[in-house]
Amino acid sequence: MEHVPVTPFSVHIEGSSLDDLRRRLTAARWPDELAAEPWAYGADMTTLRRMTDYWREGFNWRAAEAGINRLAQFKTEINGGAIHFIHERGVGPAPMPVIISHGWPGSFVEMLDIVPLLADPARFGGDARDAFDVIVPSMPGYGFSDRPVAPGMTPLVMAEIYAALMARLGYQAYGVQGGDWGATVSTWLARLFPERVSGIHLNWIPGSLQPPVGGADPALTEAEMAFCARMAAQAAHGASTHTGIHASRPQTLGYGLNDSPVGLAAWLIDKFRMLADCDGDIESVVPLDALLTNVSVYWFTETITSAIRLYKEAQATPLMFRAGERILPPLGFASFPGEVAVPPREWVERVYDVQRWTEMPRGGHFAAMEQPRALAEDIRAFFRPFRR
Amino acid sequence: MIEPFRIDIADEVLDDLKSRLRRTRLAADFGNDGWEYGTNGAYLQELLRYWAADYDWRMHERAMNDFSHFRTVIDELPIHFIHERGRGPKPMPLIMSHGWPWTFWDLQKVIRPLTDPAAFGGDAADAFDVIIPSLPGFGFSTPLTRPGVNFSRTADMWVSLMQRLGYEKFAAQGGDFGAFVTAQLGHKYAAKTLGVHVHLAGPLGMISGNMPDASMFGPGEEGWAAGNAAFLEQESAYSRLQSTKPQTLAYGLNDSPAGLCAWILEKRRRWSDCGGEIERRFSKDDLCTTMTLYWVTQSMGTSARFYAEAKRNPWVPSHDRQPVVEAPTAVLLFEKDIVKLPRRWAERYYNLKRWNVAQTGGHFVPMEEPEILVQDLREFFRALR
Repeated sequence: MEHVPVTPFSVHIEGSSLDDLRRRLTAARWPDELAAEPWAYGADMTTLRRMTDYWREGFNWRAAEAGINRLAQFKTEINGGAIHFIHERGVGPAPMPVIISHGWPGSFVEMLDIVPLLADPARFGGDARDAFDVIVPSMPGYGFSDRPVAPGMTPLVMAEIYAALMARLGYQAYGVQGGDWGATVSTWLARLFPERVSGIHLNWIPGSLQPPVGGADPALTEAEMAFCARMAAQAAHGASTHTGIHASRPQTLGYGLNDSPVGLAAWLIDKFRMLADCDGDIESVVPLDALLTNVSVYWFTETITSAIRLYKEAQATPLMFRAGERILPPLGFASFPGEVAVPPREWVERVYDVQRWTEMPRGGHFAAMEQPRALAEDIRAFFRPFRR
Repeated sequence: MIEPFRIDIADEVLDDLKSRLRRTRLAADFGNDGWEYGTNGAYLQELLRYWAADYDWRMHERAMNDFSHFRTVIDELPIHFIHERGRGPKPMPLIMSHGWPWTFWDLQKVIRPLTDPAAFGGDAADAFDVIIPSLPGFGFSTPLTRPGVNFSRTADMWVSLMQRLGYEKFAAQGGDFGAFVTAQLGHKYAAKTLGVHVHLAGPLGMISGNMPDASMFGPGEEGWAAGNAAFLEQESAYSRLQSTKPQTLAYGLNDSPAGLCAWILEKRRRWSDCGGEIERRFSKDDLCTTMTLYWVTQSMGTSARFYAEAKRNPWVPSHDRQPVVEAPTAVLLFEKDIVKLPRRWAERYYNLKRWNVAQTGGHFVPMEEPEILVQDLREFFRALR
């Protein structure tokens, strides 16, 4: 039996890095902005300047850091790279382990609110029997996990790393949860290790999902045909603006974002605003401090480039399925109304064993940040029958 | 009013640039020898070091100032241009439009041979008066303060500029976006346009989606349709981004010279006929001059908007006659360019008088193959004088 240490970890950014960030924010060279509707050409300068002024003058990184460090974190080496993860033990009679996978432009920071809700439900008016042992890794190339040093870090490889992590932590069976890239990694976990994954809860259906269609499979429904037509039309116009660059020439974009904190903030916050259920006002659903904590993690760890390279790597492992091939662990899906491109249930059922499908009242792509309580409640309810 | 203009970048701007370059937080790169993930980190670092330590902007500034520069205001927007008079019995006025990520200075090598052919082994009868504006929002045609300025509006502005210079009729030349400005002149202002010379052919509505049918490619054009498709598939994400959210990109690239350099460098390498060795087509000085021009004029964001304006303000035909471009037209294509449309299509779209395909040279024609361009311009316009 291999013995690789799992080392306690807490976040501490050097004072010199904070000084450098403040200096760069002060020296930011802002582009011209033309008279036009705010956000019409991308991130709105008035909003962005207010946010980055606050980043410089009001935001307290040390407080954010202390908030992160209230959760138990560790690092361990898997496949030659260190993986950073939150590991909070559940408070209850029989906590069930669940590994929660984040995506882009988020990070483990997305999960800061939902971890305590899941680990200690009784403290928040819930039932202690719903407690989870919660594991939130930073994806390789994200946050405090090491950046890959060779191509090939696909969601499939990440799923193998996460499975190794769970094994190392002594978990033989566990639930998986995720949105965005985390949904893809969670799906790979369930596909590769069905005997270990007791259930899969998603708040996003991976965009690369291609169920088998034809042969003995049921004919496409009208809703499915409409969904496929919408996806095809989108593809014909090229991938959406961010993903197109990420998936083709991520490195070219990364240099500017790794060198300019206002450039980085613009890139990330524009995406948050676009994908959250917020009517154009991101701060109405995600506090500015939380947004800036996330941006700061990208900045201090210099991971924007390694993070967006995932879009290119992932092209090697689309979620295509052979005729008759299915994902065996049961699926719970929380469908948030502000989410983009949610496929019809029958499309999802072609591959997944859909046991629960909840139409959520509000929320978008960043469910764990926008609606942590509602998401936590759906996760609890879904996994209840699968606890052993 | 037209005012003489001299390029004189303040020392503090250049000092700030150098100090930013020295403080660059260079993103790590790996597994990217062929630039598959985008700009290669090792080469970028080498170029950034050169830019910060060895590159002499003042030398290039002096070379720019050897030409006559002017600024004027058209439609409330500042327009910078070079205006060099021809040496010959009857110079023909020629307005040359550059593209993205170009500057006016990408035309540096063709100016003298066009204005003074006799000094370059040519015939003084082929002399041109050369006018090279910076596109609105590019270089010294900044700041751009208004949305809506697309290539069609630019063509309108060029007509105003030429009138202001006393040219009622003129020849026009261009590549990249400049080819669209130029073709629009030949479409909307065919009566004023003596002839149109482009080294990128494409329908004026192309950026809003209409491309010629693949079946129109003929003999000698094998592989062109596939090449176009490969470019759209692999290299055009920048264009979709600049067409939709140029401002989101602008914040980082206007604040980080390394980011700006990486963004432009990738296109210079991919789009030129350099076989992956960028310095076969552009010296480090050439590259640093382009980057410095974008940096000191803070024009990355507004130049990228040229894509968004083309997309948001789709081309509106001024008439429905055929050919669309009625002015006599020469198309000079380069085998290694990024997008090449077929001759059969060009014969219908333009009043096509001349069609040539050069075997060497890529997208940045006036820098890569100035002699081929100059020779083709002389021969084409000779008949139209």
